Amino acid sequence: MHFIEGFMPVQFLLELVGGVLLLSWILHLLERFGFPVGRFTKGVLVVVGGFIYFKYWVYPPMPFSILVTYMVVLLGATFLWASSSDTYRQEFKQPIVALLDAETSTMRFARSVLFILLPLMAGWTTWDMLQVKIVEPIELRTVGPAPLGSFQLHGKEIVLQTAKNPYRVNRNGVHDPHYLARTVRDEKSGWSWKVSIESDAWNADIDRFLLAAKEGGHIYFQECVFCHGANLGGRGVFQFALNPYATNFTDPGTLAQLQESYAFWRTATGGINIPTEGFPWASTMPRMEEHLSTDDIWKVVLFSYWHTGGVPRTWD
Amino acid sequence: MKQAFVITLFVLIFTGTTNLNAADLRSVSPSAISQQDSSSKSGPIVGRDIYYGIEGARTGPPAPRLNEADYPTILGESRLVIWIVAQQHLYWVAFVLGTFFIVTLLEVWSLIGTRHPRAAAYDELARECLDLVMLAVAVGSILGALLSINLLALYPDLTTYLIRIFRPVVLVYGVLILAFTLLAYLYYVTWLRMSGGWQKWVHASLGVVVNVVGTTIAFLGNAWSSFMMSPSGIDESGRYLGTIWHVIHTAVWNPFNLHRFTSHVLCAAAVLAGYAACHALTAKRPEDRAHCDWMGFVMFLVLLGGLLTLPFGGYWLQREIYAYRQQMGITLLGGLLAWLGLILVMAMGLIYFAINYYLWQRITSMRGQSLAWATKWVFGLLALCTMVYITPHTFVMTMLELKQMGGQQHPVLGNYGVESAKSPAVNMMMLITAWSFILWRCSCASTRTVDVLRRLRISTLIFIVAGLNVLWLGIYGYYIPANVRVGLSVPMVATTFSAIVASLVVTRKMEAQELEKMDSREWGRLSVRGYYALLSLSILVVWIMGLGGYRRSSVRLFWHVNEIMRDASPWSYTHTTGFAANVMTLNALVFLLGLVGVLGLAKMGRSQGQGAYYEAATHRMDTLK
Repeated sequence: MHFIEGFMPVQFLLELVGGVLLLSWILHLLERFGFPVGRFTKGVLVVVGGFIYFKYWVYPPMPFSILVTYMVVLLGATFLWASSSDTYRQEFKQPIVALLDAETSTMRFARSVLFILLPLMAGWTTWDMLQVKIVEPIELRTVGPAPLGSFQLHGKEIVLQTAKNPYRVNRNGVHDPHYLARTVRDEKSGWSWKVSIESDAWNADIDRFLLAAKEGGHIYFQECVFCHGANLGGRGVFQFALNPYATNFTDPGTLAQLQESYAFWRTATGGINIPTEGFPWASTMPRMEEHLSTDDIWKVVLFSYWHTGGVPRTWD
Repeated sequence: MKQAFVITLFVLIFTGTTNLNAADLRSVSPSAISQQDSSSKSGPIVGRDIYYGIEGARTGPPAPRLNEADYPTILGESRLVIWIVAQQHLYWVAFVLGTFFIVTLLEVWSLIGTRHPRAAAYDELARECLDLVMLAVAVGSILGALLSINLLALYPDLTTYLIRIFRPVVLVYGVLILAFTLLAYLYYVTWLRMSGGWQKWVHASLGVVVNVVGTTIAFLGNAWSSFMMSPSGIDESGRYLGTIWHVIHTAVWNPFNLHRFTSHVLCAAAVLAGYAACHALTAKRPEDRAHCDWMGFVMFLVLLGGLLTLPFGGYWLQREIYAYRQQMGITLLGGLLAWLGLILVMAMGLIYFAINYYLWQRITSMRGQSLAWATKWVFGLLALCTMVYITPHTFVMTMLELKQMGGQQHPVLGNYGVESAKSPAVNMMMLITAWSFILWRCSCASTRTVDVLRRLRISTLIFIVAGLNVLWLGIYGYYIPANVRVGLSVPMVATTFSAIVASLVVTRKMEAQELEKMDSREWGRLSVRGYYALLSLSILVVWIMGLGGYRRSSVRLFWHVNEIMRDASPWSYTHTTGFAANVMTLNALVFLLGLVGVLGLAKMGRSQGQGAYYEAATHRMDTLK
């Protein structure tokens, strides 16, 4: 299936709205042709339809915790809608009351089935819950553990709040967090902002920034590519041996929203040195400080940002 | 005067402990001191401010370095004791100060709109709220004194250090509490005496003064907690550098103040709305139910107004915290406290559901099914926005699910976990809520005329356009750098507020019809479910306040004063999410139970003479017209 690369989050929302619109239209048509559908049935259709969509349509499958959360929200919203007025409430509960109370043969049969099924289902659920199951435990961990205020690297103290990449400099040698970013101006709003551009690092002899990015690239493809992948998407050849997987740097929720000093710290100290304030964490990142010099770590971080088109978070 | 006694005790404790020396408060030139005492053996006498970066004369001892033996263990886990007492104090103070704000607002509104058919009723409502809150002033003061005593007993070194730093503030603080109590009492007892002509304006002005004093107290109290989080005005060893303004005006003080003020108003409005809902549910006479229904609605409007601004205030606060220390920002939003943040946004989602449900109970109780077609869109879109709002960045999952996903982030839903998605989601929820409110206004019109329908359509169009703009800005945020993306929240907020203001303007003429219509026949017809929605709103707001306070306080982790004074007590770890949630719930329950007692007593005291006051107020308003 089904989800279009780069459009997935919006597609998810549009499909849900489209589903409701489609359902409304079908129900409207049925009503118009003399087959009105009761409010209870409408509610059931929305909840069941939502469950089918979340469980079987969304791919890759969403974790159980998210599925339950979404279903609770959907169920709650459906109940609120169904009881938003006295008329709606009466309509909604009418089939339930009829099932429990009516004396027609159909309802009597349905009631009998229900009262046989309910205890059976309760029994089965209890039996199922008592089974000893060997399953992996769920994890409550954080992808971005909180860093220390400062840390020691190769005998020097690095203060994370103020540390800057020495290679993120413009041609005048001045630190510039937005260097090699192009300014885009929105004519309607009048705002301008900067986005990074792809530059040819292989002809970068005179540019310290690009030269460092190029060297960082060399290091990346020697040291990091096996886990983080050739396009930095977290899909290296070792990916399936890792638990948890390597980070996908192309995701705008990872590298692009962090300060560069944070990426530097994580690269240098890896998973094993995450401090207690970063708990609960789980990381398979090795300590690159054991393999790379301080300068090399800065260069590989610079390359990671440059390659993914991201600009480190700043507060200017 | 119980309060006066408590305050005197409070001031005595602090001045006694601090051993105040007037000479210490003198302003001294750093360079002059440096020249005079350059040979000092205790190190340089001039220090550099760790935040402002300017030099100042060191006028106090450094922050003490503590070990476990420095913490007396009297009542078990001292941190827990302080947590509970501080939270109760903050709850009651929020209720008191927020209620005074609402009372003054209502009084001024009744004065400005003397021709308004319900002006006298607003004045009476203000008086009723004042009756309810006066006993709470004493409770808040007693809890404040109890907190001070507990701090001194359980964390003596920290408290002494903070008092040394804040010496001038402690004195002003004590004086202001005394002034607040006296002014509040004066405001209360002169309500009837100063109820006519220009005296009423003087009385309303007194209310404004009470609010200014109360807010100043809250801001000064905030300075302590914001100093502990983002210290300034001291050097790297924690020595005071002589400029008290720098100690007060820390990196996060102003966003804290805005947040504190809004939460006071929200807390008071929520409590009073819950009070009204309870009394409406138990009222035996229709006129009592009608009055409580109306009171609940007025408080609901205040709550709604405050709630629309709170997310922006919260966003500003988070931004400033992140900018101050990325460690704190990550701990709050992506680290140790992120799961509590997730619970917070879940509760916020519930609040928006409850608000809309209440509004729709109002609409359908007045107009039946004529506008009910909109409910499926309101609750459907709210559900969608809530799903986006509560989707975490890191899912709770098994390793098998992680492998099935193919990476740490879900390719479809993972993008909802960052602020770029949360901001449009919460703005959309506000727009939907505002649309429900506009529909309520339209439902108040006596007939569904062409004019009403036209206005409704224009308003709906405004909301659709605003919603699309917010959605577009949210999507666009993923394609630009993070620092620019943060700035996109400004046009989002501007869009939301513009749409709300524009739709209120479009539907403005329905106000008169609405008020005429709503006067006597409609109040009290709200369904029981509507009252329960109001009650759940008040409980949610109270609980969220506790949660927000805990997150703010625990983000310092193992520091008493961030990066200056380490917490060496045995309780310097962060509690589990479950334990913290239990304590927050306990705090909320204790506060709510306390309210039942205090408001019940206040109502008993007020039960006589209510009708007489209302008649007097009506007569007074007639004379003002």
